[in-house]
Amino acid sequence: MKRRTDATDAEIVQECLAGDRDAFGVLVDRHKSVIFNVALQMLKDRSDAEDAAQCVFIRAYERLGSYKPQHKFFSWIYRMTVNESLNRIRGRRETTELHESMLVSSPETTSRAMVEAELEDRMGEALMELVPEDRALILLRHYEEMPYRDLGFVFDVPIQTVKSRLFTARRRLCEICRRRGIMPTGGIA
Amino acid sequence: MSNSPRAETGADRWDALLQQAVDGTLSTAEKGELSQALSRDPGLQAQLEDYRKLSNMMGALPVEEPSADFTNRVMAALPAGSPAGAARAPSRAPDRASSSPRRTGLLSGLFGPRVRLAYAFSAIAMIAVAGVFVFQIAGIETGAATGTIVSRESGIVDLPIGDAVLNFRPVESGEQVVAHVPVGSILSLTVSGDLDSDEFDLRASSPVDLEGSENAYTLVLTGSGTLTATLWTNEMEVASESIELE
Repeated sequence: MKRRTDATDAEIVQECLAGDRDAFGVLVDRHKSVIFNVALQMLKDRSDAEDAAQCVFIRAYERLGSYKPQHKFFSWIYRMTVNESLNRIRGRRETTELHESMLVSSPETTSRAMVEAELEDRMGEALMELVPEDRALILLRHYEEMPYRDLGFVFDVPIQTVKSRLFTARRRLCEICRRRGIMPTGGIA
Repeated sequence: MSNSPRAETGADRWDALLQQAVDGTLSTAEKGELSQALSRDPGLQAQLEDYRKLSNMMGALPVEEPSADFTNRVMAALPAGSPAGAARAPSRAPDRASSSPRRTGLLSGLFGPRVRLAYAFSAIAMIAVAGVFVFQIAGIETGAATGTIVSRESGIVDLPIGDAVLNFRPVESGEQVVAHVPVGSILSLTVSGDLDSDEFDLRASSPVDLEGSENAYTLVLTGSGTLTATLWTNEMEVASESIELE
């Protein structure tokens, strides 16, 4: 398939809206990795994350006519990804089950020197202790380095609210990391 | 009394500043303030270090790839035909010079019928002696806003927001707004009341962001309420102005 890979997202959306269905494949290729990874970090289940990512792209295609180009395309589909993930989490009543299952690590285990992969796993587990909305916010800010303004769009809140929620969520995550021995400094009161 | 800056100013505020330092969104003044505090308070330094570690650990989370046939599966699952709303024009458009008929009446002749510059009426007397005049605009947030009516003949109002400009012009369906946003900045629009626009999803809780561009944005506002425009550069608020429309 011959396709301009240097076209902007907005240009490709226009091509789709003009009837070029295949153009949407460029958008999928361009964003599938980040969408899948955000869903994966939210859901902690590869199969569920892939299914969620697929649903996001299909929904994006169906609603492409309502996409407003003054927003970044990726912010628009992140918004859908976060909503899709949160709906799935609510649907499977995951939060309390995960909290219980994630708290079984012993301090002895967490205080041992950890290899990088273990640290990543533990960080992922620590994230799962956050409520899903905070987890999504932290992920998009730190994992995807999304600016406050885009976060405001994704979560449909003013920037001040983004800052305030981020402030609380980061503080909470630091506490979790300290308790789990991931962050031994303990500088945060 | 403790010399600790945390005791003087409140731990939450320092915590917020530390987090903003990690995000790289501190103003110059805040940087200086925090730098001084850090040099006096080892606890604050440790706190900053924790947030940096957290940020680094989050950034180091593994990146996984979806299945190799992911794109094909998505494409195969797409509904047939063009996406819904395909016939609608995109909202971001280059500057379209307005040729819409102007309204009639006293206010429309002077300022445009839908732009009520609440601050402007005392200046009406000046119209008799000046074709170009300046009004004080009641800046809602900043209290320091100013705006200029460039011509009573055209019914056009220019509202500068830092280096950005909103140009208001009455049209048949409402108030046309042409936004000129400097490259590298973002102009954020929020509304109160029932102001709306076909081109943009304007809501008080969700600002519409216009990215800086060589081209201007054009939208038509309907309804009444207050439009607030805030100019951002590098995630820092540069200027903010509000205008009441009825």
